[in-house]
Amino acid sequence: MPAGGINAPQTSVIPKLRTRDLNFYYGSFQALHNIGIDIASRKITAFIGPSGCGKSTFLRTMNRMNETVRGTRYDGQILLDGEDIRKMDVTGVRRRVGMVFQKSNPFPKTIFENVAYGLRINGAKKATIAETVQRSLERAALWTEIKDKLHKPASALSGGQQQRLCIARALAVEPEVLLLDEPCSALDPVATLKIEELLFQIKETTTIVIVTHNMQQAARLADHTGFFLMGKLIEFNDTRAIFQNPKKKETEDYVTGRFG
Amino acid sequence: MSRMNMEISLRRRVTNIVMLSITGLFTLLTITVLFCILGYLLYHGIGSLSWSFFTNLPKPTGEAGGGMANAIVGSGKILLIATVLGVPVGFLAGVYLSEYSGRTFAFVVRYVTDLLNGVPSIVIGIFAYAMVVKPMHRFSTLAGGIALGIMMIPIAVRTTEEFLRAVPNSLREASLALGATKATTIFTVVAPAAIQGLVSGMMLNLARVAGETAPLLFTALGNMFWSRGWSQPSASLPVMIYQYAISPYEDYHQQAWAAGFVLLALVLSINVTARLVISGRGATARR
Amino acid sequence: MAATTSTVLDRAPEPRARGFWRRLRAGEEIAYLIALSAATLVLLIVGLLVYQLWISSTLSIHAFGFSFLTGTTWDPNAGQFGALPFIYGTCVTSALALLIAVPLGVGASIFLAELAPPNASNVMTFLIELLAAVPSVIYGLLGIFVLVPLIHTYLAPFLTATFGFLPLFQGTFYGVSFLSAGIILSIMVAPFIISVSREVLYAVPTDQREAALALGATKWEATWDIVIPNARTGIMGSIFLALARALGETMAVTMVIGNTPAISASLYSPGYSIAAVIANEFTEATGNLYLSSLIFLGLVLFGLTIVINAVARILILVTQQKGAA
Repeated sequence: MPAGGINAPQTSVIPKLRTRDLNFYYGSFQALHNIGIDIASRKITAFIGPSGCGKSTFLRTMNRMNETVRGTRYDGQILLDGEDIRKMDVTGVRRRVGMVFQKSNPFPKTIFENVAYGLRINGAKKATIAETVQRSLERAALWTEIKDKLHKPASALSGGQQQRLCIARALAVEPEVLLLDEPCSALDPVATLKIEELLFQIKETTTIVIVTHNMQQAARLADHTGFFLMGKLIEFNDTRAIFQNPKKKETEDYVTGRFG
Repeated sequence: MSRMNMEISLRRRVTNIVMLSITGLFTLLTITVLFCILGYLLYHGIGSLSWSFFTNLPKPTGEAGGGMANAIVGSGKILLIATVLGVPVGFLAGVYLSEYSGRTFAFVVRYVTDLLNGVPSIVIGIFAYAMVVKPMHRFSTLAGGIALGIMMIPIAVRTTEEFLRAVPNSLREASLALGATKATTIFTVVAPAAIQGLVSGMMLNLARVAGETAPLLFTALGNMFWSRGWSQPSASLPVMIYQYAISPYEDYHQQAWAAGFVLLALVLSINVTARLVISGRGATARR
Repeated sequence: MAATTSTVLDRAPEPRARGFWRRLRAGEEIAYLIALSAATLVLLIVGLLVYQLWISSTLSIHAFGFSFLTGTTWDPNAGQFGALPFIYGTCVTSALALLIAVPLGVGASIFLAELAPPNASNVMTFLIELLAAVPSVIYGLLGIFVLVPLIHTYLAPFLTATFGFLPLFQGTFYGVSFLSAGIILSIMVAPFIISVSREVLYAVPTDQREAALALGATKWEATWDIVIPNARTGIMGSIFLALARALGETMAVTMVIGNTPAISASLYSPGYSIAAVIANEFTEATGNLYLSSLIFLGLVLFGLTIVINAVARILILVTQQKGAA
């Protein structure tokens, strides 16, 4: 299958997210070439590739986060449940497609308020906030550790806890998709493991898209994996196929560690 | 399953646009004030500007052809003394902080310098009165110059230290490696390397004190005539503006506008030049 | 300012002390001593300043003591010197100035840091910082002939009509007043708030903004709820800086405040400030007690600005350290 054409793993379900002919530009520099991909609903999809290959850029197009940077533009389509996200209200898109960042970035608020923030601005009823906060923290496997510290500042938590807090924060608004941009790159193996475990749990209700520079992580977690190189999607398939039976030489070179 | 609004509410959308527009409005307002200031001074001041303004002494109200020559010269003399006092002391103290000093003493000097920077100019005037005017039993150009000189010191210290520190150590090492002494290195290598920042810093410093009025009110006082030498009371441009502006005479008001225009033109052009010199070489990092 | 140790020259080797070298070394020593004396001179000047202020105030301090600060009558002819009218005027005008300048300044800094394209932002900030370079007496000039008439014609009638029930806007507005002084001060201190706040906002990490936006916040919500709190300390620092500036402002205030030692709830009333009374009455002060009282006022002002400046510096320092962490 050509890298620029429609990449889809063997599935008959309607894709949660779909891109077609996506070309992305930073000013005059083209960062993404003709990306066409189907992201399956309630599965974990991973993007791998060497630094600067465009995987993070691509991730950020899916919740229109690149718009906050001056001079970026794209042509092509990005469809969420079949609807072009460019035609939707941007805050609505971002509520449905959540994001967790590379380095944990809790707000300068208490733990409780961090998780509650998304609820407050989206107009959740006050009576339900505490309950939703607890549920989100439970889903992020953080509740038992911090339930007595809810009104302490979030900055008092460890790195791994902060990242799980950020996941809880993102989950509170009940996104349909959760984008994670190398979420474990600043964490130790124990913290990483905790996060990987909870991603398995979350996937039951939420579509997960994760960018990772750690191939083993992709192999452990993902149902489907896409390999990016120099702004092009070289190959996209079931994870097992990518790692054990890559169709493209570049993919094979990367996963066998010949470069990257 | 979501209990929240799927669509962003109108209230949030409106708030967003309104608040962001207000911030833009505030910015516009502030910039407009600058142009209003320039505009009014231009409008009222240019008309009263004439050759006699620059060459004649003040005349009593009602008489034509009064000028502010003595104030202009007076300001010049006062600023000269201020520079002679403030720049060397500030520069050398800055050299000390940058090149010589140890941690504790440097901390103390820096703290005290910042303290001096925060002292209201009128209080500096009181100090100069007590230290110069009282012992001399007279108001004088010297006292005014000393008051302004003291005001120049903190900024001179800070500017010098900042720009000398910015000079890469490799330059110092190269000079020492050639056998030069520390003193020679500082004055023939480091300082010249920082000259742009130092000069523009001094220019900004001068522009700042050139407009100061309060400290002169009871040091140099004022003078309707030429001030001879350095130990007589002297007119100065800012003080003249003040005295003429609060007077009840319309022709004095006109002259105040003219003087205001001259003073502002001077201060702003020094400011703009100095800042362009700095930013031209990218010494300040702006996004 | 990061490093506080001196540069590499600290470890420069000492030249050997032989005839020719000794002369050179003497040059070394002299240079060092000159620089050291300059630094010490600065300390000396400040020390002398505090000493002089104190010594010259003692007459008044002994005569009035603490009640100087609470005395409401300033009558030089009767030998009565109470500082409260001036402290009141200084506080009222500074408070009014901040009331106007803080929303104005923080708002403008938000626009400059978050909304405006970088080049436009730099140009606009450059222009706004020029406002800080305008001498006080020029502000005063414009105050007398432009601002006060404008307030008289447009603002005061509006305020009386809408808020006249408040004690703040009682009485007739003639021109020189707390209101006029407060407004002019606000214009003078706003650039400080804008300049520092803008820098502080720039320093807030991008991913804080992005995290808020990623939850579906609007640009304003992200800025107000997340970015500003991140910059809170630095913005507070800029406000204290502005306050210190406002407290010590002399010329513009004395030209539009009315120079009357009155304590009045109405902003329309003429008043006086510490700096203004010193400026006006210093050269006419007859008698040592009069002069000493004025200098005592100067000491009070000095103490006030030192404290406020110190707080400002601490706040800004804390912000810088947080950013560096």
